[in-house]
Amino acid sequence: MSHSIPVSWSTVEAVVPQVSVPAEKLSNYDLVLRCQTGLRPERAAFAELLRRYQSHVDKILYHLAPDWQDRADLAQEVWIRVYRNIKRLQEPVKFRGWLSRIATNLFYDELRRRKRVSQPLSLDAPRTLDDGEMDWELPASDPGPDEDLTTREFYDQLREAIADLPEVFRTTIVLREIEGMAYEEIAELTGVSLGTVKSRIARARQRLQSQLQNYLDGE
Amino acid sequence: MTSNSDFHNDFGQLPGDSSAAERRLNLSKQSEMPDMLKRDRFELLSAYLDGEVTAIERRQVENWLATDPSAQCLYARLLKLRQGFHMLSVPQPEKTVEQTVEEVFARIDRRPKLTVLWGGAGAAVAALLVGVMTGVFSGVQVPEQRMPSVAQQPKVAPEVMKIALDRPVVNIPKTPIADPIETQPAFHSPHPVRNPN
Repeated sequence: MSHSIPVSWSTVEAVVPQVSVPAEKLSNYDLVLRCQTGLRPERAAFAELLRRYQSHVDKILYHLAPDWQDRADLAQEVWIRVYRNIKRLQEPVKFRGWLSRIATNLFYDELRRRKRVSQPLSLDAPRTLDDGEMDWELPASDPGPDEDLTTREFYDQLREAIADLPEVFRTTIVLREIEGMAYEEIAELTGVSLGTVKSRIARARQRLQSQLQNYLDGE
Repeated sequence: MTSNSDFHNDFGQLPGDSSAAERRLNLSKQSEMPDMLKRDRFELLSAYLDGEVTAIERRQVENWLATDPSAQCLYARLLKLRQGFHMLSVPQPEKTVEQTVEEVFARIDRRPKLTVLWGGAGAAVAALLVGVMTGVFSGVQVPEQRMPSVAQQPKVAPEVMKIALDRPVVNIPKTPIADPIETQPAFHSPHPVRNPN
């Protein structure tokens, strides 16, 4: 979505407010406010905002799309949208949630685009994206990790287990656990019913806790 | 997917139906609990963790957690899983944050120029399209319409305006002697017209 503002670029450069406090010393809230002043966000303030929240964008995109190689491009697109639309943010205190929403919407836009251009699945391919494919049974007591496994290994396993979840389950649990969205928000964003959201989150948790139960039962 | 009716059949009974609830809770302690019931119970526990349950459902889960060790174990796992999500870091991104800052500004600065370029190209295409459409719909009249109307005037105007003011339009035959009386109206003349013969 592109927006054009009928001003010349020389005008834009001229109206950047000169503020004495350096952007690095501003609180997150004030930083957002400063980015909202003027016709375009002040560069120093916007760069500082990006530095503070880039890890959050990376985290969201990583968990939503762990197998995409071009997440960096997607992250840049997120920030371009933020740059263009930050003046529209009504409540600066909610910047983090707003940013998450932009990143998530962009991910879904891209996901839909990729699905349109990708080859259709063959009929005999496993229907791993379908809601009914996950196993509800707890796994038998498989040989678990040794007791001296480090915390780091647990996180590696967890990251891998999340990435291995079928897409609809992974995105739903990520929206809940990483982005902290309410079920209703997730339902609205993903275009499914509240019951489906509840079910997908439960199934994702069931799969993860069963795969990682030996780590989770420790201590 | 679990339907809402299944959900309420298992856990959403009215307060007066406590005996049915107790029977179900007792059933949950048995290893041969039906799959659907297990699924519904897990879903309820999961929603409870997220604060997405009704007051009645919350009481049911809390009752379950207070009496069933397996439920307590499962709940403890889910809490640790949640903690894991929150503490989870992601692999080092391929670009540093400073690279991202630089590239984002480069793209922001580049886009308006592209917009202008595309805007100019769009205007040219639009003008061409208007021209073509006008030609299609008005056919052979286009050249005439495009010519200013005054351009046709010089051909006509000199001819019309070439009137010699010092010459009569109709050739007037000359008489040997001009009779000034003839110029007067006949009925005003006090003299009879002379016969030339």
